Amino acid sequence: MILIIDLTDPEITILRDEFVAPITRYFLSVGQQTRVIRLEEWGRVDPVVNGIIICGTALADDWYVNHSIETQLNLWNGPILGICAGMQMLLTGTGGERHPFLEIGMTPVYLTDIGREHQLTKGKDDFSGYSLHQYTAARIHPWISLAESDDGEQIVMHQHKPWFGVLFHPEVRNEWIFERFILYVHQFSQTHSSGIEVDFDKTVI
Amino acid sequence: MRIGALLSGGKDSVYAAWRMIQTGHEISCFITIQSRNPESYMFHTPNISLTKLQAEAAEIPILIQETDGAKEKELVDLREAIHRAASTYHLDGIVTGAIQSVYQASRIEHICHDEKLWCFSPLWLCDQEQYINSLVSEGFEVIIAGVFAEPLDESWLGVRIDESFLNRMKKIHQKYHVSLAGEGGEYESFVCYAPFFHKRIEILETEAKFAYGSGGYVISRAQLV
Repeated sequence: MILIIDLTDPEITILRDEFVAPITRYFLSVGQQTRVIRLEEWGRVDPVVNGIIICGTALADDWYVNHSIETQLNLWNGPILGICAGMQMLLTGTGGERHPFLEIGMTPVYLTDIGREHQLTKGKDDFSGYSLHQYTAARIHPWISLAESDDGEQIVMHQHKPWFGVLFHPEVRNEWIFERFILYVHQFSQTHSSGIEVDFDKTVI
Repeated sequence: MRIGALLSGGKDSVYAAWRMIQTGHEISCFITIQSRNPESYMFHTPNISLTKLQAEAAEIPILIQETDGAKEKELVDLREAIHRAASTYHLDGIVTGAIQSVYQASRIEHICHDEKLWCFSPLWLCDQEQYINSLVSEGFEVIIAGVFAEPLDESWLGVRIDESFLNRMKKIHQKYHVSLAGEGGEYESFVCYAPFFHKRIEILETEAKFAYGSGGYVISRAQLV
């Protein structure tokens, strides 16, 4: 089960149509079960959940900016993929600071040397991602970059936790990221249920 | 929120406005870009002059901006129209009927950001079959106003979007990969009635033109009933 976190402004319910529903539909289309909850409902995670997606939101929506997921991150060691505002939440929840960074439209993305070898991004080389954000957050240790645009980081990975952030929106023309994340989640679950500890520094193949 | 709805006359823009109403927002005005270029990159053109009648049916004011429809110049005209609408109707945001077009969506997002407006595209990446089913079940009356892809031919012009249309389109979609919602420009539509209209548009005279694999269904006379 993938838990999908909706961090859109709760007073503007129409935002779910645009920023949450396309993601749940994608997972449904590939037979992956999901459950959607609001950011405020995210506490201790049900054991049935083996991965978390934190969705993005509208360019003008800054409701999430006044929230932190530091507490939630302390309770969860499983895989997370933060999208756009979701990536910002991951970075700020682990000590990074948010700063203005406007990108709208298709943005050329280039893999870093690490990105070229990591299972989430390996083999994709350069591609374009659909950007829709006016902020990003600084990547501090132990986050590393898997992909970048000319102006900033586009895909980041935590070195000690199975956490990833994507600044562009993979639901637009880059669903392969979801596909690989699902595979990653399943591999992670199997490894962990078998009692093998994964050293995430070494998962960077 | 007070919302300006970009209105092309087709189903996507009208349905997007309806979704905003359904979720508690007010459509304070419609904005129509009337392009003189039938090949416009951004704006739907068949029967665009009839958006006035749709606005009248919905009892919502409309702001019409003309454009030559040159590729980037039409964006300047769109920006001007949104700016005027925002200041005249004190808008908080804009709603678009974009489904998959990154070209269309990102340009409108840019303008809205510059104008400090919210931008909503409630049909974005929607399930197209579910969407067409919703149109039908929620009482929209929509006809096909233009066809631009094989195997859609003259016989489709003026056809109403209903269950039978959807079944036929599903077969075509399976064989030819034509988008069910016409998102790739395979067909254009015109809305005669929507649940928030106070009157419906009765079509009195039409002219169907079809040549070289594409055609339009021009409504030359219509009235509100």
